[in-house]
Amino acid sequence: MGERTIIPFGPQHPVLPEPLHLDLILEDEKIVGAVPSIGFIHRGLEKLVEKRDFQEMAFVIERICGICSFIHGQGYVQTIEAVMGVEIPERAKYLRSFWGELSRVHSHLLWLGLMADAFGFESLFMHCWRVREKVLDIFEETTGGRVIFSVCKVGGLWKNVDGDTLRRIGGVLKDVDKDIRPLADVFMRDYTVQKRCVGLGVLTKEEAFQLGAVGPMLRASGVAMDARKLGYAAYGNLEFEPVTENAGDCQARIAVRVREIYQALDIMRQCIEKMPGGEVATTVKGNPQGEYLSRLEQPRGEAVYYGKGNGTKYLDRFRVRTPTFANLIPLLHIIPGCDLADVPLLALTIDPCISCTER
Amino acid sequence: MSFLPKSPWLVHYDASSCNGCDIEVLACLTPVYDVERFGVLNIGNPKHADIFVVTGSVNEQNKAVIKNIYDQMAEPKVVVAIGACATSGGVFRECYNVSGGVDTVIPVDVYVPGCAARPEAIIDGVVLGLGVLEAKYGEKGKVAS
Amino acid sequence: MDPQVFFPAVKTEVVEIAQRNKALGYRFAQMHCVKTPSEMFIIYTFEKLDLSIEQYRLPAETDGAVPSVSGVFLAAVLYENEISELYGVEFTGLALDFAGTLYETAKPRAFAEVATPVKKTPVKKAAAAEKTKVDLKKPAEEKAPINLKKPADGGGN
Repeated sequence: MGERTIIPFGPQHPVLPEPLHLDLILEDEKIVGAVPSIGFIHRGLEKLVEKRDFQEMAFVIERICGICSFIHGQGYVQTIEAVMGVEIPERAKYLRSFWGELSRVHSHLLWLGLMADAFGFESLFMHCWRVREKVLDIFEETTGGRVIFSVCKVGGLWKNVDGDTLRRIGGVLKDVDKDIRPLADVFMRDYTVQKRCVGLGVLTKEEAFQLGAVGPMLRASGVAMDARKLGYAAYGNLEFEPVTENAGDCQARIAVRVREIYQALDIMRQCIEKMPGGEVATTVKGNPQGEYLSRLEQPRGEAVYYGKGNGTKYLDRFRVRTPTFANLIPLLHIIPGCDLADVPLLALTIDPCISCTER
Repeated sequence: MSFLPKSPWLVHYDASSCNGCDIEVLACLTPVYDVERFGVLNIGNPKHADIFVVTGSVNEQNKAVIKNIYDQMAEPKVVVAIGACATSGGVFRECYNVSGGVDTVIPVDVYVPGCAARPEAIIDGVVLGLGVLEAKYGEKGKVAS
Repeated sequence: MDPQVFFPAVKTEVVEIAQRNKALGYRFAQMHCVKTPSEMFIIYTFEKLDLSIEQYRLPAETDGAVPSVSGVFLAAVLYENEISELYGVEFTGLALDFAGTLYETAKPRAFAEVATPVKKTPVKKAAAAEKTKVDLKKPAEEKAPINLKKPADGGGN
């Protein structure tokens, strides 16, 4: 039996932009166990429902995470609208789906860049983020912000986008599609990428389902579960199928995310074609009373939002279950058995968003 | 004109930030806003860094970590606090686990406001930090030719 | 959108419900705790492959004990640790117990205290209007005219 050493990983680490601490138990070069220590980003913002009324709370919930910001805002307002029984206009639903899919493209490009940086392919990282800047330009033009948008409100949206801008954006998206193709080629077919990622961190179909994995982590193991199929916002009218792969290793997760970028670009094209005219907001009267649990598909997986109102303008409780929280147990399951140098890759393969996890 | 012996290297730490400002810090290093053309590197080791870039407010578990990274850096050093959260706590300052901005733990030289702070503002903040770094070099009598 | 259905549950049958759902093909989706000034309960959500969910509501109290379902679903372990740390509910039989070190907050059991919202008494509009009403028929009071030529008191004489 080899000698056991404990090596601390994080919270400040060149490869992870977020603080996550893992105590890795090593036997010679192989990892036999990992003990996580989270809590560096816990702000306790769910308790702010007592101090901010339900319209202002949308701004706080958006700032749970800067990468998944739009869909958090959308989840919050969707839940409160369901509690209050407010029906929003069709155009608002289509615009929310449009921005949601744009969020997915930007998030996956960001992740692909960080993954490339993790296995040392720095120029690929720079290329992915260069393409991502085009997507951020679209965000800035339509919402005014690059990272935090603040467009969703209870009752619809704060901003509208006119038809001409949408048609022009359709052209920009075609350019983005063309720009991504050579990068996707490298991720899916390059020899060095395959050597690093194939066969690493395998999660079987049964394990993924039982341990509670969500999002690309689950779909890369062959389970076709995608919360967008519930038909919230405009997804009921858009055609798409969950993207799955069967291998369950890191390469499969990269493939799922690359294919999801193409799927998101296609969904956005459908949104632009089918976008109805009209208003984007309805007036909201009264206060929320009752409870509701809704599920949305974040780029990282399925997120669950629960809201409870008691008739006053302050909510009783708002709870967010983020996808990374559900993916932490599968992460602890796939780490034992790999080399020390593969730990950053495995930590990134679940697409960790620690600020989402700890709120 | 700068009299520093080399281009400044940054060490970046995310202390209970929502990641918005962190992505913008990384966006400064990538094409379009590229500061790497000036030699500014995002180095992971605090012992090699001149500028400590912090985002996010301070929570209970972070205090020891921020102090640790600050202490490991060699003098002279500059701290740049990026974003509304690092300046004062931002939207979350009334939360039970947040004790305020970064200046509750370490002395801060430059504050960059914004939520999320734009890359142009961040580069501006780092350049102001360079001026402070130069002044500190001058005080120590270490002006290199 | 349809209202949600929450089946009531009691502590003694929680593990049994979890086992039954696992046999039916459900997996553990999430659980969370809600505390208001009047009640406190834990909600369990189980999810199936076709995205249908089944939810259970379990009454609970701070410092009360609830049997853990982590023996049936390992995924529940993080949620139960979080609830026990923030709300003070004790879970017996945890598969992985962080013993209060998951978040290490500045204020322990922060969610267990609920602020009762301050209710402002509505000011009766009619009474307020009465006080400030100006009667236009009454002539304005006679005020003594200010004599500008007389020097102010205290000035040099």
